[in-house]
Amino acid sequence: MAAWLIGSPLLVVSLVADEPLDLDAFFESKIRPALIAHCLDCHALESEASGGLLLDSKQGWEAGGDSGTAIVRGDPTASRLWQAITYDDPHLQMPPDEKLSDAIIDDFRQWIAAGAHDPRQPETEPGKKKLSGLPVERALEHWAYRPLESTAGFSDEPSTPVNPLDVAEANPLTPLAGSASAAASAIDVLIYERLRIAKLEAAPEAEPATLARRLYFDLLGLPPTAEQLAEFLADNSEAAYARLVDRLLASPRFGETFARRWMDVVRYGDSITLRGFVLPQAWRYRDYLIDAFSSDRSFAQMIEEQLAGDLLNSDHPQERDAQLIATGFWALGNTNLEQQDKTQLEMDYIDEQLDVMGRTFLGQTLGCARCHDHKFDPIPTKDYYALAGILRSSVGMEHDNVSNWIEQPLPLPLEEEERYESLASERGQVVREIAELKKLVSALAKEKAKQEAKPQPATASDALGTDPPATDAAVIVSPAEQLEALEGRQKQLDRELKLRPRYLTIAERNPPQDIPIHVRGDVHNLGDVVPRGFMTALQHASPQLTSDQAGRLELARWIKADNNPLTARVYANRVWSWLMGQGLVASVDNFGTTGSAPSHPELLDWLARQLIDHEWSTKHLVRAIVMSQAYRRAVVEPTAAASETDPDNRLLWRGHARRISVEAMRDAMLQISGELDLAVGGSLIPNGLAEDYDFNHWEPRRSVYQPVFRNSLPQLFDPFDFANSSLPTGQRARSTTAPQALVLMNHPWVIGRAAHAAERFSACIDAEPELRMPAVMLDRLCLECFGRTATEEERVMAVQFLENLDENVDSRPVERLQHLIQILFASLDFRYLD
Amino acid sequence: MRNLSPESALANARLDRRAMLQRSACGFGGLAASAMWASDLMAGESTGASTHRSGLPPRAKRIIFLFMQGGVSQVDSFDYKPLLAKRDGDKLTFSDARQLAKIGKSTEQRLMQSPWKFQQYGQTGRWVSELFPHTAEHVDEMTMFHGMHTEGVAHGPATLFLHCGATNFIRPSFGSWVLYGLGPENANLPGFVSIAPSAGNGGPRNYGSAFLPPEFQGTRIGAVGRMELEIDSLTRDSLTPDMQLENYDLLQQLNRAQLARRGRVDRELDAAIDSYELAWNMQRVAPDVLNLNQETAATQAMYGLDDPKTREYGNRCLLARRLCEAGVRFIQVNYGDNSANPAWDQHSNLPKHADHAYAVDKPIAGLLADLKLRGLLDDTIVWWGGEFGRTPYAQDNGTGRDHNPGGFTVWTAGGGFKPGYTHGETDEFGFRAIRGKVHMHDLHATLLHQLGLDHEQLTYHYAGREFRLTDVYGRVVKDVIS
Repeated sequence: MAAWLIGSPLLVVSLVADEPLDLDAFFESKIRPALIAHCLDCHALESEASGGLLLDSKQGWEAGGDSGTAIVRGDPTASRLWQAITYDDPHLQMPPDEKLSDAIIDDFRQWIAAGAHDPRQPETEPGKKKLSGLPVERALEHWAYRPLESTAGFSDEPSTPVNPLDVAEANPLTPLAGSASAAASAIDVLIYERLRIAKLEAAPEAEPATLARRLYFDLLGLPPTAEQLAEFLADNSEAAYARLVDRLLASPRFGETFARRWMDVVRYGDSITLRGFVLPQAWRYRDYLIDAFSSDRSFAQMIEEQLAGDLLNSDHPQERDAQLIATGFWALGNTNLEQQDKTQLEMDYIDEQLDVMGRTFLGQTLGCARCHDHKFDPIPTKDYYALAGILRSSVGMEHDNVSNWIEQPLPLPLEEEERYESLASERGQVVREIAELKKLVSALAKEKAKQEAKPQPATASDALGTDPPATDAAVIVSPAEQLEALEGRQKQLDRELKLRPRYLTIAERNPPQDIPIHVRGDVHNLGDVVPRGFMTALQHASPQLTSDQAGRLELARWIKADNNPLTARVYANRVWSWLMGQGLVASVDNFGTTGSAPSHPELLDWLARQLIDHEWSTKHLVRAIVMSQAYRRAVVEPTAAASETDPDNRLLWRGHARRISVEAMRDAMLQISGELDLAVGGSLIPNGLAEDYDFNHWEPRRSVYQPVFRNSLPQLFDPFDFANSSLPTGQRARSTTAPQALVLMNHPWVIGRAAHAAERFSACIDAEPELRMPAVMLDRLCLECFGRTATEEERVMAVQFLENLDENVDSRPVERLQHLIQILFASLDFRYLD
Repeated sequence: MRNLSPESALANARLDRRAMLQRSACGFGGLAASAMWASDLMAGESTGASTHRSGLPPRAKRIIFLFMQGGVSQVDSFDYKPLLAKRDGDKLTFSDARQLAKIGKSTEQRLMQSPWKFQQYGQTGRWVSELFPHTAEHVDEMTMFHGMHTEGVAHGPATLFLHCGATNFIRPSFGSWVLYGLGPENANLPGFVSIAPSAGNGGPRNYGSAFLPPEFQGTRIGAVGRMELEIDSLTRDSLTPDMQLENYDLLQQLNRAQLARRGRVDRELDAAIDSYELAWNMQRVAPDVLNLNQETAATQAMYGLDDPKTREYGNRCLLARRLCEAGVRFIQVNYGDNSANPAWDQHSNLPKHADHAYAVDKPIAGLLADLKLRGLLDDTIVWWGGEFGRTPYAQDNGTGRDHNPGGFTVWTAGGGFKPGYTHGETDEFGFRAIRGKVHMHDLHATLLHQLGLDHEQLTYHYAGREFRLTDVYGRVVKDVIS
C-alpha cells in the first residue's frame, strides 16, 4: 500500500485504486472536461441553474440543488450527482439525453471518493441564481396586500346637485349629486379629482338612445327592441334613466348576462376536450350562477358556496341544493383524465384548481410557486403546498385507465328519494336474479352438451341460440325468456335511475393530511412536509387548522373575509371592468407585483368597501357604477390635451368605445329575427350524449344556455373571441380578423337569421302597410339593429340597394331585404357600442 | 381586379395608416402581412413578441408536419432490429411505460418480430420495411431521429405534448408559436392550418392558440373522414358573384359612413373595415389555392389521387404543397380519426399497420418528390411522426404492440437538416432510446431553430410570467443540422 501523504491537500490516496491521485491534475484532465461537455449546458450561471443546481463552481455544487446536497465528499453512493449519472433512479437520470460512458462515470466515482477536490473559483457572485421577488415579510410594500383605505369623508347621504364640470373648484370629498345616487356621485368625485389634476375636461353625457343601447347590452346582453327604446325615450322625467337602470336590474336577463361573465372567470365548460366527454351536470352550476346573480345573492356567500358548499348545511332544501351544486366550481377543469401516472394526474388537478382559485378570487398567480418560490410575488413554495394540502383532502376523480369525474345524487323530497331507493333496490334484486338464471342456463347447456358429447357452447347466449334443440326446448327456453325479460327490466331501471338529478362536484374523501413540497414540481421528488395553511403574505387573521380539519371551509372563509385585502378589490374591479370595458387594475386576474397598478387606487378601495358594506351585493355595485357620470359619458374625439396626457382614457374623461360580445351578437340576431327563445335555465344537452364532437347548436335559446362544448362551440363563438373555456379569463381578447368578416358574410347560421328576419319584417307589412316603403322599412330595421333610425346617407344607399331589382339576375324583394339585414348585422354600428 | 376603394384619398389615408401598423405590429418588423391577416388590439398581457430570433439566418420558412396519429411502430418501419426476429417469442423483462406509470414496476414481455421485411435503400443504404416502399426511395433526403422519447403513455397526454409541449396544462400549439414568432407570409391566407385534424385526443387544443392572441390560432381545413377540403365560411356559392359584390360594396359604404359619422379617429373600427377588405380578397384567392383540379394528371398521380385507397391522404398532401407554395407557415397534414384508438393504434392487430402505411406511403413520397422538383424542399421542413412509438414486444402476449414513449423514430426532410443522416439509436430490440436521445422538447427546439427562432427567447407573458413552447427544457440538436 502506498504511503498516506498527510498534510498535502493535493495528493490523497484513492481508496479504490490504491493509487495516489494528483487531485488538481485529475480534476483538470477528467472532471472539468466532462462537466463542460455534459453538464454545464444546463447547470451554469451563464446558461441556467436547472434543478437549482450549479456545477460551474465549487460553491455552486456545495450549495446543492432543489433536491438537496449534490455531492457528499468521499461517498459517491450517497451523492445525488452520482445517483443521477449512474441512471439508478428512474426519476433522476443525468445527462438526460444519454448516459455517460462507463469510463467517465468511474472518473466521477473516483473524484467524489477522493473528496471532490474542485480548484475552480466562481466567476460571478454565487447566490445570483437565487432569483427572488418580494419576500413575505415585506409584502405590504405592494399595494394590493395592504388593508383597504379608510373611506372617511364620504357621506352616504345625497346632497345638493353640483355641476360636475365645476367640480374642480368643489371639495373633492363632497359627494356630487348629478344623479340620484350618492354612491355614484362618490365615484365621480374621485374621478373628477384626477381629471382636475391632469387638467382634463370630461366629455358630456351620451345621447339618451346611445346610453340606453349601452345599458341594455351591459346589463342584459341584448339590444333594446324598438318598443323598449321608444318607451325609454318617451319618459322625459329626471328619473327616466334611474328607472331604466332599476328595470334592467330586475330583469331575468341580468342574471344570465352576469353569470356568463363569471363563467369566463371560472373556465366553465360542458365537456372535456379529451375524447369529447360530456359533463352532463355542469349546467346546474351555470344555473346556480344565473339564479345567484338574478336574486343578488351576496358574493361573499357565493364564494363560500363555490369553495365549500358541500361542507355547509342549510335546512332549506333549495339552499342545500345550491350549496352542493356550487362546488362544481372545482370540477370544471379541462382535465386530461387519461394521464396514466395517477399521482401526477392528482397533482396536476390540484394545480389547476389552485391556479383558478388564486386568479379568480385573489388575483394571484399561485401556479408560479409550484416549482419554486414565486419569482416576483410573496408566495413561497411552501405556501403553495400548504394550500395544496387543503385541496388534497378532496378528490375530484375516481381513477381508472381513463379516470372519472365525480357526480353525486342531489338530495330529493322524501317521496322522490324513496321512489329512487325502491328502484335501486329492485335493480339489486334483478341483478341477483339474472346471475342465478345465467348459472342455471349455463348448467343446463353443459348438461346438454355432455349428453350430446359436443363441444360446449362458448357463452350462455350461444346456448340460448335461436334454434334451441327440440328435445329440451321446454326446459331451456323458459329460463331464457325469463332472463331476457329480466335483462329488459334491468335496462329500464338503469334508464330511470339515470334520470335522478345529480351534480358535478368533488368529494371530501382523504383524511386531512399535510403534504410535502414537490421539488421543482416533480411528484416523485418530495421535500419537506408543509402544514396546511394559507397565503402567509396576507396579514389578516389566518385561522389555525386543527389536525382533523382539512381546511377547505376555512379556506373559503379566509378568502371571503371582509378584511382579506384582495378579494373585495379583485371582485369590485371585475364588476367595474364588465361595465366600463377596462378595469381600474387593467390586469384583472393579476393583482401581484407583475400586474398593473390601479389607475384610481382610492376609487378601487371605495368600490371594494361599498361591496363589503352592502353585504357584497353585486347589484348595488352595478347600480352605483352605471348611475355615475363616468359611465354615462359620450365617446368623443380626444382634445389635443387629452391625446397628449391620456390617450388611453385611463382617467376616464370620455366613454370607452366597445364592441358587443359574441353572445350578445348572436342573441341580438335571434331577437331581431324574431326567433329568440327567452326560456330560463335547464340543459340543452340531449340525454345520454356521450361525446361533444360536431354538436349542432340549433336551439334558439340565449347563448348562455348553449353547451360550452370544448370541441364544438356554438356558431360564431370561436372566431369572435369567446373566452378560452379551459383557462380562467377575466378579460377576453379583442381581435379584429378576416375570419370574423368571412363569418358575417358567409356563415350559414348568419344567413339563416337574416332570412328569418326578412320574413318576419315582410310579414309585418300586412299590419303596417307603410313598411312597404323602403325608407320606412329601413328605419325600422335600423331601430332594431342600431337603436336609431337611418341617417340620410344610409337611406340613399340602402333604398337604392333595395330597389335595384334586376329581373334578369335575381330575385324577389324579400331576398334583397334579407341581404340588407345581413349587411346591417355585419356593419360597424351593430357590432360596436358608443 | 376591381378597385375596392374608389375614393382614392381615403384609400391613401388608409394605406398610410396600414403601413404604420405594419411597422409597429408586434415587432414582426419587415413582414408585410402581420397586421393584415389580423390586427389585434388588446389581447393578453403581453407587449408582444420581443427578440426571439436566434440571430442565425433561418434555414427554413415553413413546416409541413405529417402527423401519423396513434403511434407508428418504429421496429416495423424505419428502425430495423435484426435481433428482434432472431429472438422472436423470447420473454424478457421490460420497464413498460404503462405498467411503470401504473404499478411502478418492470414486467415480463414476449418479444414479437416484425411481420414485414426490411431492405436497404438509396446511397446511404438505410433499412426501411416493406411498409413504406415509396417513401423509402427518399431516404437520402431524410434525417432520421431514432432516439426520440417523449412524455405521456396514453394518446391524450402524448398528443397534447407533441403539439403543445405539455401533457395536461393548457398551452399554445406548435404552429401558433411559429406563427407568433414569424408572422404570416401571405396576408390572403391563414398562416397556420391543420388539414383534417382529429377531434379527439386534444382536438382543437392541438391547433389552438391558448393564451396567445387569437390570430395565431390554427385554421382547420376539412375534417376527419371527409374528402372535401374546405375552410368554414370561406365562400358563399349560393350567390352570384355580382350579388356578392353588390352586398360587399353596400356593406363597406355603410361602414365608412358609420365611421365618418362618429367624427373621430378609431383604429379598431378602421381595422374592422380592413378586415372585410381582407376577407373579400381571401375569398377570391384562397379557393384557388384549395382547388386541386388545377394540377396536372401526372402530378395528381404522383400523390396517388388515382387510387381510391391513397386519394384521401394524397389530396391532403397535394394541398399541403399548394399551401406551402402560397406561403403558409405551418401546415399540419393529419392522418388519423376521432376514435379513442386512432389510426395507427394497433394494440391487438399489428398487420393493420399495412393498411395505414399503404394509405400514406405514396402520397408522402409524392410530396417529397414534388417539393424537391420545385425547389421548395430547400426552405421547407417536412416533419413526419406520431405522438409516440410502439413496443417491440406483444401487448398482453397478443398480436399487437402497446404505446412506447421511451424510444421511437421521427424523420425530417429539407429545411437545412442533414440529408441522409441518422441520429441516435434505440437498444438492440428498438425499445428504449439509448444514444443520441432527442426529447420531444429538443425536437421542438431544433425545428424552431431551423426557422430562425430561439426556443428560449420565443416567449409570451401571461398570468404573471413568461411562457415558452419548451417550458424550461429543450436543446437544439446541432448534429442534425447541415
